[in-house]
Amino acid sequence: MLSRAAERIYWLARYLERAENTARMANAFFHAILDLPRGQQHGWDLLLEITASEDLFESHYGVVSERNVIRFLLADAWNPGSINSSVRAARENARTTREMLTPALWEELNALHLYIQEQGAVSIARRYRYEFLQVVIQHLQRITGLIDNGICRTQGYRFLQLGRYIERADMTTRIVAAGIGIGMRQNAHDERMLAIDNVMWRHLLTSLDALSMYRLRIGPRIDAMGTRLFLLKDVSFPQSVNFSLQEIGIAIRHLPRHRKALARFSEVQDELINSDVSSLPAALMLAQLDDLQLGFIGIDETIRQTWFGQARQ
Amino acid sequence: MTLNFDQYDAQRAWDELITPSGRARAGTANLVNYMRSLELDELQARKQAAELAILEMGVSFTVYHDGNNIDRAWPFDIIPRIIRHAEWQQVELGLKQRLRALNCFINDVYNEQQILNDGVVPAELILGSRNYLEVCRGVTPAHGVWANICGTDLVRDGKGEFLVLEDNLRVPSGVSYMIENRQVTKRTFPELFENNSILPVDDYPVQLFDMLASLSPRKLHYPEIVVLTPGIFNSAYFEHSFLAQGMGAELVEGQDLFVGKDDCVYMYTVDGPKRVDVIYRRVDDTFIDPDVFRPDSALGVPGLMRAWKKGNVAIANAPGSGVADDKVVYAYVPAMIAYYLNEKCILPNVETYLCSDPEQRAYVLAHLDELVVKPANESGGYGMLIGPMESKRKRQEFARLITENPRNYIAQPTLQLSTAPVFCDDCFAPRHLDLRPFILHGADMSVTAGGLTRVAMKAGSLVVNSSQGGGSKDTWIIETEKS
Repeated sequence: MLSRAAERIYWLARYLERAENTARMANAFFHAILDLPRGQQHGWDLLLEITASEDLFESHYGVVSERNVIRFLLADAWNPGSINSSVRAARENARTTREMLTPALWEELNALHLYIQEQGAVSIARRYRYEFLQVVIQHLQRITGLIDNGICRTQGYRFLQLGRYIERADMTTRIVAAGIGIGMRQNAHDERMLAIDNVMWRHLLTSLDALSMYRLRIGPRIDAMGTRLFLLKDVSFPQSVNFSLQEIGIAIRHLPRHRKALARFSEVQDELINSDVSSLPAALMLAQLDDLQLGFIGIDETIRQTWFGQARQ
Repeated sequence: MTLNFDQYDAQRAWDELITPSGRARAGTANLVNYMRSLELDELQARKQAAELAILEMGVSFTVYHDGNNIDRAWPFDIIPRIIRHAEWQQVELGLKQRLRALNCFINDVYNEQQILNDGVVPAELILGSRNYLEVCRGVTPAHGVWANICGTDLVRDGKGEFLVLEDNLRVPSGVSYMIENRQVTKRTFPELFENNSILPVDDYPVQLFDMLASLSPRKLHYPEIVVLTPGIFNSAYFEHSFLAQGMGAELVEGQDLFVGKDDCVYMYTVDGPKRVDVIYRRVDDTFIDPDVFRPDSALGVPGLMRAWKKGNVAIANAPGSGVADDKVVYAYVPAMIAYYLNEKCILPNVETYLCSDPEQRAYVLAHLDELVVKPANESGGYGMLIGPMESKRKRQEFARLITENPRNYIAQPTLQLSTAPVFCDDCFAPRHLDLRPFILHGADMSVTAGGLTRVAMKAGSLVVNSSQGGGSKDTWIIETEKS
């Protein structure tokens, strides 16, 4: 497989995963807001924090309002992390690697792109938002299904997996970090916060479609420690960081000349395995999550150097 | 309400479906009756379904507009154009004959130059042409064939005779749209395929693969074939990707390839460098190697010409093939057929006046209001004059251009191109069209069943290029009982 094609396929998968994460989060928070007591509407800036786009948002919008945040995350073409931009970037990458994909996959992605072009502006309004996000998520899940059931397990597929799971590990880590950060800020000056804290974790789990699986694996009580354990270390839950790392490891081992990438990957995996996530104090946990994020960046760098870099030498 | 052809004007030009007396032509009765039977809103619904299918399939082409590249949906008319198989077989013979002669000519020009020495084609016309690449002198590609893929533009005159308008031997495009048009028609009118025996067109990528494989310097069952594209911003990128996908070949850009110390061509892959046997180039030949041609070209591969001349890689079409893709050379094709094949030309040319010839030039300048003037070298319908439709000023401008650079212009009578009905929201209306079949020439030859029909979407217009607002139609070669 061409190095350049591998790079584009990798980014195709990252953008698809990013679009789905953003859509699911926006959906979950839309519901979360309705639950929170007045004056506790931290939801919308939390979304900006998770997507690491506070600065970009502030450079264009004055107020962190529901309408502004939703427009920013769903429709704004100048925000490279919006659903609109992610899908467009995914489509561009697919357009330049069409010969590696199946026609059905391309058509599904193209149909999603068209839908967003037509409905993106309307979706800002609360009334249409739910349906819009549902349709977007369904398209993206069909695309995932078409990848899983239509693409040969050759190199192209490995790069799709790498892109998908690096993006996912990154996003799940950020969701946990955002939750911890908010808990720390609030517990400092409000004793009612524990209850609200648990409500927040429930919504964070919902944003990953993780709630029912959490109950099966951990139990009915939803709290910070349980969520950390589940989202970071559970080996069986596909949205968890540990699961994502396993998949990254499998993909790396299937690719040629992988020694360096595998070494870099193993360091990060060991770091997670050796971390005592259920008992670390919040501040230390945040530092650990920062390290993990740096680790993902390191894996991404080695992937580029090993498999994408040659064409530009 | 249904539509009929009672008001349809089939008298002004030869119509593909309807006779001047308003009846369906032989072989088209099934289609015409079917179109008559559909309610207007049903026709409109089918048209919308076809447009949606094109969007969803991502069938697009890129146009340059105000410095931007716009990815536009492919314009398509839902009513197929029909050619009877018996007639098509003759056309096929003519197309093959033509390409055989053209390839003899190119190989001769880059080797012995007998046709020039014998004065059949004036030497200065060829050796002075900017399409003649001296660096190709002395090379004989596999099977002696230079132009492996040819798109020949055919039109019908007022009597319904097929004439050759031009031979595209550089990087002809459009074949992917021919295949996609059929897919769209199958989605739009599936029921029509039950009662008609229509030759399939979707085997083209396999034929292309087999032809390219026959050029490989290494005799492998599956040689490494790549499609070389200028990249996503090229107007035909969709097609490059389509053909690579159809052949299971890598779609590469110049930056993906390099020439090794052994003068072989390699591509950068995830596994490391991999040898390439055949390059189907969709980049103009003077861009393929910055060491030899344009040093500013970022689209090419340094050293590629060296690898090709050593026979370590095949390039299709071979560099230099463009020497025969010139509207002046075109005028000599019937003479080439006689010279190399000792045969009579099966498909006639359109009558052509060479402005390089003083007598013919004088005629052209005196009759600019009747003629179509074309630059010898351009494609895409750019830089031409359709005399009867243009202003006096435009004609004067062309008179000046011709006088300044006569070698660069030819003129042809304004043809009354044939028409076929298109569906225009509330009626059937005649529109002019042409046809571009594709001919493959490697160890063997093959011709597509039909080709790409391009249709002018504006009433009366003779310009069919998609870059200039033209559309297209599915083209059916059908076997009728009588044939």
